[in-house]
Amino acid sequence: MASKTVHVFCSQGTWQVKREGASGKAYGTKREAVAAARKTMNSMRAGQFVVHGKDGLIKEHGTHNMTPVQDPPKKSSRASEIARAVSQVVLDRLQSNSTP
Amino acid sequence: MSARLKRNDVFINCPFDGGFKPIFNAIIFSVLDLGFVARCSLEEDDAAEFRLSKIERMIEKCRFGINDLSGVAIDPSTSLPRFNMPLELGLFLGCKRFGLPNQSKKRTLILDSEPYRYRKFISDIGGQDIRSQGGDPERAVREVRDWLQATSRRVGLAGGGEIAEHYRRFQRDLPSVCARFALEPDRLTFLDLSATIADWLRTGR
Repeated sequence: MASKTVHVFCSQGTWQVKREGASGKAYGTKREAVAAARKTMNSMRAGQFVVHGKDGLIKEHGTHNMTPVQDPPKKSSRASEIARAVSQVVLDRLQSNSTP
Repeated sequence: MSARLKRNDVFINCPFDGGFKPIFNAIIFSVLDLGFVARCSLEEDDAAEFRLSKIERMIEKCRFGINDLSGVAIDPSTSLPRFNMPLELGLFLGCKRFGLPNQSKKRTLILDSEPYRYRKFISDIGGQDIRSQGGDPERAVREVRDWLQATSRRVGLAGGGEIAEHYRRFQRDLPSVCARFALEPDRLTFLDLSATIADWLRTGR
């Protein structure tokens, strides 16, 4: 079963829109990719989309019929490092599944 | 006591060392996946403040409390039980009973390793929401989910099976995430673990 998260990320000069366990699609611009990701998310019963920046940090995130995650009340001193690591591990797995 | 009660904040009162860590981690994960905020005395690092004052301040702000009493057992090195968890549970219940009117909205879940074990050491808490997690992290996830859904009356929350599945996938990814900043998963601080779970939920669900 495909995951509920629609990812937007840059790979080899194009912007990819992909869910884990499903085929993806490439777009010429980030704007087009984000619009397509939102459309995909809204077509799902419940889902979320996330835009991975080139620096590895989450740039944009949205949910549709899915509980949004709250930020912890106190920020870890390693918050950016952790965000990059999580994003990279998830993207590595996503990209190793199949090519869009 | 005059702090505003935060409707998303859940005070976690659990043993967090050694063999209890899998249950502790599963409870935090479940709380965050449901859109609530996990609070714990471990998030404070101000050594100048008395530990009890930190805990009191945190309890006062949290609408919900999850208290795991499974760590109440005889410590072989002292022949005495550890009693921090029942103390913090007592503070939570006392705050609800004797605090300002808004504190009466507090709700608490009590977890233990076995059904009715609490009757042998703290029988006066009978009548509260007391459930057994059976020493199984996924069972703890389901108990926390069902209790939070019922007490908060929020709609659209993920089911226990779905959260348990998210938790399995998170556990699969955690060693790779930690390897990227040269840390062992078991050595993450509470703040680091909360940040890791929150970021994973935004990208990995």
